[in-house]
Amino acid sequence: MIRITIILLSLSSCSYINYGQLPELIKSSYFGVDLTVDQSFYDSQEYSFMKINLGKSVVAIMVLSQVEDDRYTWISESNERIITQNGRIIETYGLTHDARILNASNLNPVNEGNDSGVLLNLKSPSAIIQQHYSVKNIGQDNSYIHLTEDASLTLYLEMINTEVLKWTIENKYWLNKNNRVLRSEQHIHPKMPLIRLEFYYK
Amino acid sequence: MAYKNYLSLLLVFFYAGLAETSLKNYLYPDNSPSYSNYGTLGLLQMPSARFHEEGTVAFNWVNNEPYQRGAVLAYPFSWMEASFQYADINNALYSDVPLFSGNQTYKDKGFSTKIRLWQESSYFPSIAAGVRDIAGTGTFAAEYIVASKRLSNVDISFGLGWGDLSHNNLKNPFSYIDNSFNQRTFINDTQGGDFSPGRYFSGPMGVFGGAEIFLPNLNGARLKIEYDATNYFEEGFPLGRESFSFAFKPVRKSDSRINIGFTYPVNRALKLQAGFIKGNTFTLGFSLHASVGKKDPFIKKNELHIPVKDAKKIKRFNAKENSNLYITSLNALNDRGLYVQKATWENDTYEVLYAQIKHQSYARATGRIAQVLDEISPDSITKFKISNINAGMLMNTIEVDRESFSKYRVDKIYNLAIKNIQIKSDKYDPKKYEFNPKQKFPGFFWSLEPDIRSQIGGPDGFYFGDLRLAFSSELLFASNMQLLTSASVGLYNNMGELKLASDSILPHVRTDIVKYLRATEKVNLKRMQFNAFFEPVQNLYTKISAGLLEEMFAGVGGEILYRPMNQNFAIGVELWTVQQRDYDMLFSMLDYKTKTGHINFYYEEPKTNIVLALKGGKFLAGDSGINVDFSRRFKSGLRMGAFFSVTDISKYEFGEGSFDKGFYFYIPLEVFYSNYSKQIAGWGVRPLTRDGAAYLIHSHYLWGVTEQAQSHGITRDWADLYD
Repeated sequence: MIRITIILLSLSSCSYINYGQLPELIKSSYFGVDLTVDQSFYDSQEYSFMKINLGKSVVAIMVLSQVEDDRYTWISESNERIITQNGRIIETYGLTHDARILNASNLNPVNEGNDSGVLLNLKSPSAIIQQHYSVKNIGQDNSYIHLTEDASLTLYLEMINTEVLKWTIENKYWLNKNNRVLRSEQHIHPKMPLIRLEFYYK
Repeated sequence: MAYKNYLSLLLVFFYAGLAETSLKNYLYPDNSPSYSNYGTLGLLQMPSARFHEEGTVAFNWVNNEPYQRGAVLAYPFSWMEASFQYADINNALYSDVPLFSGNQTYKDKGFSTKIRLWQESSYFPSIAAGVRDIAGTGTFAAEYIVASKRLSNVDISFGLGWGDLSHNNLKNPFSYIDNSFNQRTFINDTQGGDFSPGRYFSGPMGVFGGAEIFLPNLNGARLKIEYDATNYFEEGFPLGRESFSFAFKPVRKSDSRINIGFTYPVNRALKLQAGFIKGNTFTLGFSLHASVGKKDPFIKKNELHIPVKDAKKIKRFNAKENSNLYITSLNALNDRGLYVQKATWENDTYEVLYAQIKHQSYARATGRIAQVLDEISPDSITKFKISNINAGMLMNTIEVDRESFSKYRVDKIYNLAIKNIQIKSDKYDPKKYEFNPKQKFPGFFWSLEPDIRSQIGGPDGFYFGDLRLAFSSELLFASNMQLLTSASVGLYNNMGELKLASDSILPHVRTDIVKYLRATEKVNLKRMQFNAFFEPVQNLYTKISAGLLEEMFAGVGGEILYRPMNQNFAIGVELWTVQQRDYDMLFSMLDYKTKTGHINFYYEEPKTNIVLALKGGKFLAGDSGINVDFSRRFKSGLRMGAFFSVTDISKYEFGEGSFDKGFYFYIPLEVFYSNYSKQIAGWGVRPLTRDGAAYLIHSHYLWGVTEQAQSHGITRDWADLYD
């Protein structure tokens, strides 16, 4: 929004600006930036990776660097790290606002669907909040086809309520028939935009 | 399962204390100050002692009958607010001639400023002093001293006001210091827009106060309540025609001194505001603010250094012959937007001369080159000499100790690496290089882009716009010679109603703007300027130019600038013989000819990155004097500046506004993108177009061309070395 506003401000004044950049700027501001993972891109990657979209303006590839039990550590080229557990983001490092679930062992896999409670440690600024999770199975989602899967995925909806902040969020997980999360949309921090993840395993 | 719950309970108790205090940041996520109806930070009608962080730019618009006010604000320091306000006063006509005014209501332009005197601490409030309408017509003139203290979720402000903030009519405490403070004295022989020190903090005094109450879990929304000290019998034209001959109806009187309001932050940038003031008037507005000064303020850059593929093989290949190293360096750096012009490898030193138009930060450009050279150069090379050339002139030579650069590269410890980096100034000797790739001349670069010309706030209408298709080109005859052309064709405009003729008694060097706009609706040739650059002796840069130098003048002339490498000043001179261009902006000329020239002095204060630029000499209309320009550069490349000019013409000769003044921002476009770019968007406010103190706006000022010819232009960005 502010990007467009500043450019419009510039439009109505003296013009040092290169207006040729406007269409691209408007396009990226409204529709965001993205990266397509197709077969050739997938084949060119040596290791498992995930595509991450932070809001509209950031897209990156993070490579799976470590697996410890059900915890997967993904690392970006510029050294940001995200740790997932059964597809859920449980720790982040290097983002504008990091977060860490202190008792991630309380979380059941998405497909088990039980309610659970966790403590979330927010950074920048620091705070610890208690959250309550509940998950429900929505059924097959035929509108999305993952590159590495022939069959459609099962969509799970996770409601997370943070009473103290009156913050209720809805995360989405798309699971394959082996109950592996292949796509997800998650909110991890009140000051961060929606995070969209696509997992590609090798 | 039970043990998990016990563990959670234990963690809750353990963290409970910590969580309590820090949660406020999330309960009230937007703590940033909000705007008053006067386009400055404050309560509703009253100011506060709050400021945005330095490097913030903002815009505010409020409808507050009978006023509609737009304000552009800048925060060059965390202790200073500067704003330009444009108020549409709906109870008065533009002039006392109805035929001339038409439907146009009175427009008032004014500057306001606020400075923090004391920073807020645990027990003491922030204290600030401000002046509204500091150099305007005085229609909204007021001064104040205000204190603000944040207590939990309430931000309380209390202050003393003078001028339009003097409702309580109390005795001025400053009168105990000097009797002159009892009386507000205005300068009478003014054309408006003049400073009026005789009124500041003078006359009777008012008191005001109020609070901004932040509401939990509402995204930082806040209620506002205040006691209003506005003297509504002084502000604007309160009694209609009895107050001012242009006014046609009185302003609604105040029924209550208590104002209430609500501000809602939609996101980090946008706030909506509404209020109920005077017991009878609803107000509505919005504000936008963005902190643009920090490095990568909006988007983190993802254009990282890409290591050279098969670097080890290339390194072995390069060890065999000098030419291998030259060719592979040229290709690898070209791929990264860094263009090798010449190179030479002698013993343990590899010297590369490059040009680039990608990175604002020359420290980053140097670092990128050093990284590539480190990857592909044979191990026998221990030193890189990286020289930058611009417009055929050598700007700098940076000597990089390879071992040290490489040692700190992984952990990006630039502050240790730079201990073994020297910045030098050299005399350019093109013959000393072994590798001289041939450059093809002439080179031709062009672009076709939309363009908009605007005319805002005249008596013929509030806004006139002209949408155009603009063609720009650069024809390079040699690395130091260019022909710049800029032309455009009109697509759509509403300039038809523009008719205001110049009332200036000086030569119409700028005030015939309407004639130029009207005569070029279909096509214009904005510029066709030939430039040749030379560096006759070390640190002395020259430019000779001829042609259609700007929209209104053509001619011939030149500029010389002495800019020593390890100093923070530069001094130069420019001289021009020019003739005024015809209104159609093609090749014909009007009769007016003049010689104009200035001595230019620049000083850059390295800690604050404040540049003082003085331009003294003879201006286009024949007046002589000085233009003073202060600007500050921020880490992102944002530059904020203000200027004024004083020349030997009287205020009467200058006309409305009394003297030339204004402020501007330059915002690097790369702050909006994840990749690097040198492009810049500029935005400037000059309240009135007058003929006095007007100077030639030719392209490629040497101060800008030689930015990296001074060590501070590189060292200020050392943190970017390993970006």
